[in-house]
Amino acid sequence: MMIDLEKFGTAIKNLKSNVEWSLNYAETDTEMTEAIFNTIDWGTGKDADDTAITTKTNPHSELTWTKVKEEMDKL
Amino acid sequence: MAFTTLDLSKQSGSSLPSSITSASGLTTGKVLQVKSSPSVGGNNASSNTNYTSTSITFNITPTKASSKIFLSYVIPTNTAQANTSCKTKIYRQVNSGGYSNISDDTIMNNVYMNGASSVSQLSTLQYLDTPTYSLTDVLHYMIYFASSDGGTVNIYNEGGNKNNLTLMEIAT
Repeated sequence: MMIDLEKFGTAIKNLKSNVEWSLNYAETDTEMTEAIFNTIDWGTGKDADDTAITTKTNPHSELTWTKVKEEMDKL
Repeated sequence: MAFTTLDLSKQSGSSLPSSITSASGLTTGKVLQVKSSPSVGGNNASSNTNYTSTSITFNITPTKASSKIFLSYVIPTNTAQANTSCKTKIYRQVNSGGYSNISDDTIMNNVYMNGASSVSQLSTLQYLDTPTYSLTDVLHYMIYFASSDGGTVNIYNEGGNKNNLTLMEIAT
């Protein structure tokens, strides 16, 4: 999963800069999948305490799972 | 500060020495309970430069009023990109009231590298908290983390990268 996440982070950056994302995953998750992609917390801002404001609804139309996976496969 | 040892076996009578004015004060600083667990939660990854929650949370229910809570978390942290730092903070919630940052004194830059790629290390987070609570309240302590510059950072709990969390209730 570690290698997949490095590719995932790079793929996101290649497709769109300054996108903030975070996710939690289990030890049994060995590769990035669409199911995990759909659990991502996308950053939309912050509060006064520098805590992220997030949404599970992907606000980036450029970043569909298909496009991200395609970019990951190029790396 | 100098400390003296009081040998109560050499005291006579039923009264405490005049130098001790309050027997209740003898409990100050005493550890009332310890909770500890290895391998809590799962793995966490982020590029967010603001602090986001993790699955690494542990809780304790104080047994007395006005206790302090000593927190000691050992967590595997990672930065997957050059010039990126993995930053952490400790957040607390009482029961299910919502997490908030305990103190900016808990901000720690756990891993940083200025070259190569991907560096991991065990990070130790320790903090003595003075929470406000009522008896029977449950205090939850969660690690929040952030990337210094948008590079990917990780907090692991898998394979050979397991965390270990400890909470102690200290009498005041």
